[in-house]
Amino acid sequence: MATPQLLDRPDLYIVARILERLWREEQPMLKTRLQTASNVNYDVFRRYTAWMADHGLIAVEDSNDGHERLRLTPKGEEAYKKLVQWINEVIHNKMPS
Amino acid sequence: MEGRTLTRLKGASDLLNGWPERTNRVLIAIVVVALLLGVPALSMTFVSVHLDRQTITIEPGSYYSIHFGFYGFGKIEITHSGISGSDFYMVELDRVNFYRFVAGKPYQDTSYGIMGFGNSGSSSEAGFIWDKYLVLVNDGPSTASAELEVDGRAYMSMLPAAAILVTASAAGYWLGRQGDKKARLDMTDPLVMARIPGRKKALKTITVLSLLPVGIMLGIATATPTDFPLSSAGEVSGFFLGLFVTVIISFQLRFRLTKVRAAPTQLLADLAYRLRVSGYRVTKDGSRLNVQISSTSAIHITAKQVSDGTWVRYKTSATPSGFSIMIILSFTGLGLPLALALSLFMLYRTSAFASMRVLPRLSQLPVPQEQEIKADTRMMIVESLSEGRRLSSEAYESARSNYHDSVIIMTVIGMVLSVILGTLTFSQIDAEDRGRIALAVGILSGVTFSAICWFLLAARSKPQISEFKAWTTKLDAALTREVAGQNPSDGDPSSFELIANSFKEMPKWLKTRRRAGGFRQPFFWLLIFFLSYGAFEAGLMGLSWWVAGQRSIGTVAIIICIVLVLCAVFSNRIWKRRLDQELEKTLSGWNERYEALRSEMERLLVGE
Repeated sequence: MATPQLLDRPDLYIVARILERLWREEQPMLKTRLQTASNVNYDVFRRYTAWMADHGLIAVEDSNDGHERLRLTPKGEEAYKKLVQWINEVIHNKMPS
Repeated sequence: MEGRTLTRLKGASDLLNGWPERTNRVLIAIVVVALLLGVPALSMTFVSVHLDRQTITIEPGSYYSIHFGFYGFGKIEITHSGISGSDFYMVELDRVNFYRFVAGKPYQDTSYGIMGFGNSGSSSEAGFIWDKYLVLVNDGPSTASAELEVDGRAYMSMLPAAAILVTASAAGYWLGRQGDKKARLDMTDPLVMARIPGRKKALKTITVLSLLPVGIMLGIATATPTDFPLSSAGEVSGFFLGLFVTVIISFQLRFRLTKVRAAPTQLLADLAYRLRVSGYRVTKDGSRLNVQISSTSAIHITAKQVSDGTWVRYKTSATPSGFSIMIILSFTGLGLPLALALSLFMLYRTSAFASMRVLPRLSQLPVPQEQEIKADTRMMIVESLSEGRRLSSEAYESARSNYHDSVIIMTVIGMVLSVILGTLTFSQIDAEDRGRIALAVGILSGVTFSAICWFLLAARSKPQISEFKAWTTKLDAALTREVAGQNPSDGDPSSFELIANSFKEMPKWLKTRRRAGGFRQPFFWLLIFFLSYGAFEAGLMGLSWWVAGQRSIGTVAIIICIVLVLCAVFSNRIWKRRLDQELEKTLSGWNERYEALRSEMERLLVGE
């Protein structure tokens, strides 16, 4: 499989969308399942997951059935929490801290 | 349609069981129809006084009295003839003075006339008639007699209106109790049992408040000196003053709900969270929670720390729409009884909400503060969605309110235009049926103007209203899903995206909300309202005087009208400028926070 082209400036919404979908799952998610749930095309999805893995937000897990699964790392979970905390602060008329 | 209505009626008790938030509109429509049809019918049947032509005799030193207790609108016609015997006199008295008369104390009459041999005549009056006693007194040496015919017709009396409202309230209360029974509530549950004292307390308060205007009226009437020339006007104004005072009191009463072992700040924060996740609109104002119950009712919840815990207290309040209705009803004067009925209904509704919705949420365990990261994040998502939904639905309601206000203003302008054009046509043309022509011109111009304005306003406002509604629905669905712990369907935007996207809409929502911000600066709103009303009255009177040939007084009234219009326009401009400045400040603050958020996010994710 070819290495996906790395992102210069990722779209925050797509990153947050992927983080949120993984955050909601108890178990690691199948790549294809995550791609469908995130509503992005496969090429974009590969580039974003590669970028996120590179930044330690998600981790790739190989399983016995030969399918790759993705899971949120503690850093990814913390990052998602931080994003949510900021939007919560902004919507409640505060500056993001 | 009929089947649907019947089903709704059949399910009335079910709806009443969850009624603090929603009321059965079919039941309300029935009450309105009962008032519209029942009040005239009952007034004419039970309140009217009719006396066929008959000869009455009055012994020396005695009197004959007829009582008209209309307490509303009606007409009295009295015809007398065939007077013989001693001369006697006829006086009109209000109730207090009648009692004074009967007790032989000094009294004040509203009219006095001596009737002697051969006198005959008739008198009539129509309009607002309160409490009137017609007394024929024979102070002469021999028996007096007269033929008397009385036709006193009450058309709209407050007595049957009150009876219908009390019956409707009792029926509503009974349906509510039936709903409780049908719901098979566990009567051993302390929370269910706690509803009963709350309900009883509310009922007692409502009973006292219902009687308070009468008490104030009687107090003023008896305290007024005998020689004070007020007559029944004192009693009438005392009653309406009593109504006004009672309406104010009903919004000032603070009730204790329960005592909880928790710090006030934490208790209110937990309660706000729980109410928000249940879909209620909660705003925090200092140390007070404001919860919107319906489009008109709201509740203020406060917590007060005492030595052995914290008292949770509540107070009836209203939404801006609710307060608008109250002010308009109070301003019309005759709408005050309705304002009182509405405020007492709000009081009971608030009490039901406090015991059925707030109390169970207070007895739950505190919302954990030190939670695992996932639950903590979900809690913040719920809070953000709830706040977003509140802002969007407020914008939606404001947009609707602005639209309806504009429709009302345009309709009023249409009516004024109709009156002006009709009057001008009447005064300018010289045809036999100029009255009909003037009426046709007036109605046609008013209706055409109002219809065109309505169409244009709808074309301009409806798309925005629909857009705001769509946002409210989206955020509401996301909130419900999040509270239930469900995931969005594939392809649906994530909750985070929804909140973040709603940020782009915020300036629009804030602008719309600010435009409907009359109650944020009620002084200006009321000032403009009263100035406009005064201008309308002065203009109408000036025009009618002018047409009637009283040019000088007509000119003065028209000049007053112009001055008042200018004052209203000037006040409106000041008000708008203040609103614009406030909006500008809010928007720049918002944009600043939004930009800071974006850069913080980018820094976190991209590491720049």
